[in-house]
Amino acid sequence: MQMIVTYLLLALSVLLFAHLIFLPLSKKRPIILKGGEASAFFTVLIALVASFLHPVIYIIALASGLFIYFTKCWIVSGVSVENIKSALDKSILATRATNVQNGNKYTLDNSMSITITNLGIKTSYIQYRSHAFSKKSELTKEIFRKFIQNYFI
Amino acid sequence: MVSISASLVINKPTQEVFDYAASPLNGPAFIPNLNENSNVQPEQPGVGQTFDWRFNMGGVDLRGSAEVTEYDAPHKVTVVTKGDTSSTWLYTFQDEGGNTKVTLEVEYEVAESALQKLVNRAVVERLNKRTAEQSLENLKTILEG
Repeated sequence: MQMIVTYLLLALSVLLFAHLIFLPLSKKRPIILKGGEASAFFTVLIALVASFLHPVIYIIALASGLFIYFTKCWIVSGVSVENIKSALDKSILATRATNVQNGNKYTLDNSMSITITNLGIKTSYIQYRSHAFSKKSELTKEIFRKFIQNYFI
Repeated sequence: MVSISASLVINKPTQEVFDYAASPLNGPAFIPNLNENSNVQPEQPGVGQTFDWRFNMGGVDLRGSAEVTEYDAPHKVTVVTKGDTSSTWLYTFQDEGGNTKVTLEVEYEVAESALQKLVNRAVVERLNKRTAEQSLENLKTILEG
């Protein structure tokens, strides 16, 4: 049974790795880990480690997956933090959203705050917090993703 | 050729809606799946303006070039694309008492093979129809918000 679980997790890890990491890298585009896909990726990856080491680690796998899913964060790799900020500035300009910037924190249309944290080695952690639903903020977020993915690594 | 269309009233003056929608630089902001318009030449919109585009359809990157073939401000603009897919995008703008009715008509080539025809009819047509509708909804969100 343990062997089947390990092989299943290994197969899922390979599929998610190919989709989320290898595919963008093959096109020389940045990696964006976000939403349900990122949540599944980290859950499966840590669960794979758990299947080799100790069953308690499954709890960490589940917790990390839930954390990534519910905190609505993105992990972007392959682009400098300056380019990420430039992409956000361009997307705000394109959607004519109002923006209040305080250091690395942006507040769009008084409805969504975006915090960009530089993790080094061209990797950034982007945190979204919605205070109220705004179609314009959601559209800006979607265009922001497009503009990040337009960079070459 | 397959043809799809969508229209929507935007509560903004015709000139403002036209200026925004007719610029290729704004395309990726309101057209879903259009990742990039680059190499826009010249910057000033008008007949003969050309640019390169990159469109994502179901995870597949389609690329090509485009040319503005008709530019009648603030009433009509036509863009013809070539490359991985050939299409004609016609935007018309009608004044409706200070608001603007925008109509987007897209004509595109149907692939020759039976399989591609099937895929086109079943999936691509629906995707493109949804893309046209979503484009206008996004345009409304950007300009009215």
